Amino acid sequence: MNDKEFSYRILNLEVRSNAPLPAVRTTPAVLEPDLTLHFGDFPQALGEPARNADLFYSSTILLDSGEPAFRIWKLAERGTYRIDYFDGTKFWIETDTGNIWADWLEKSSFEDAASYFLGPVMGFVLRMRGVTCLHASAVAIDGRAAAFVGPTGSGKSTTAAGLSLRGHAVVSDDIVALSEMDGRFYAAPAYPYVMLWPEAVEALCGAGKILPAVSNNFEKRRLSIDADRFSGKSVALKAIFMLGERTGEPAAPWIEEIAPREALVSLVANTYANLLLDDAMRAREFEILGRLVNAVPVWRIRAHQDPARIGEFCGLIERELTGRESAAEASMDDMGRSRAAGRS
Amino acid sequence: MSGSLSVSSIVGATREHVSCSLGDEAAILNLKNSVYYGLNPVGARVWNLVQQERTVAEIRKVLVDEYDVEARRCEQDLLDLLEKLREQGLIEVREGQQQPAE
Repeated sequence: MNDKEFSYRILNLEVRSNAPLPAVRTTPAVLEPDLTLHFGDFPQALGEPARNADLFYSSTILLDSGEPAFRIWKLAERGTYRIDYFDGTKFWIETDTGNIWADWLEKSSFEDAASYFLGPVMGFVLRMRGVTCLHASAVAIDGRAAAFVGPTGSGKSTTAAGLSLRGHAVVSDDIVALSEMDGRFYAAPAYPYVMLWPEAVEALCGAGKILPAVSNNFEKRRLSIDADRFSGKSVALKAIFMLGERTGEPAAPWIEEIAPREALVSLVANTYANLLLDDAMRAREFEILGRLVNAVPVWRIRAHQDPARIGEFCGLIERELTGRESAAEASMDDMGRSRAAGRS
Repeated sequence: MSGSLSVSSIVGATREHVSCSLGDEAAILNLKNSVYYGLNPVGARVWNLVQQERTVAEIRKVLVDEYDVEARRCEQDLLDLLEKLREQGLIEVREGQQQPAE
């Protein structure tokens, strides 16, 4: 695209790109980046999936036509993959060298390709590097992170955006890459924006607020986070919240304890792109998540169906995170008790 | 191995799993079928004991010593649990020497 180079640090990886990634702040260049991105520069030599490519994974998300949303091919060359999206956007990934090429059809745009890269492609690369990633958002409250875990549509981004608007620092949106050091777990910073559906924008910012769309083909809106509301550093995890189904119960929102066994199973089910894992990776991840559940308390939180009550929901999280010295040191008296928004 | 389980059987965990302790409970991932299992505190204690080959009678004795449970009831519950673990391929069972009835 051009001769310039742009450097970023995203989810603990040093990234060099030939095109500026939308809404991501550059960082000083490093000598040896983990990933080198080549947008719009798909070498002809790489071509279509070769005869020696195996179908590695086919998305379980199907379009109306029955076609999967994307397919991943594994090439004969060690550590080389190709991802084909339904809209014609394609990525060629060399996990050994960190080179990633991206190309797209005329109906799509660089913004679409960048959005794929910052989400699922980054997730894929991290998983192949053995990094445990939760399908979650994370926010730092008083310097310690809370992760909000749940499937698509459960409110991960809305929660992160709501807490950000109350002055807390966003750590990441959609993918929480975990690292473990001295028995503690850390969430790595991603990029300074949160992607929201238009309804969530209205609930958080009021009717009439217009935010830019991620791309012409993607309805989600980008809420940029100011530098002082984005955590540039990994943050120690203090709590994990499983986002339960929204409820119409008047007492909502509330928080419930989850027994460790249930917490572990829930986390196993909510790691990012876990269908890509082979047996050895799955076994390793199980042990890591076991340590995570022993180190970090896991709660279920239920929001009220009424989007206007997002403030109450965020307030409950703030009280839970800041109301005691350490959530992990909760007395036995607290175990199993529900804490509703009205109580403190 | 398909022999019947009795107090004289020798049981031991296979290698087809990873497990982790969760407080006094435990969870197991069966690597053969990617199924997860949870164990309550007594189950977790049994799982811990079968990490080394032992007779069912030895395990029963540990449980009777550690928990307020009647020996006959304990034996039946233990055999039920071990049968489930064997069905899932998480333990192997071989016949031990008959022991005198207690």
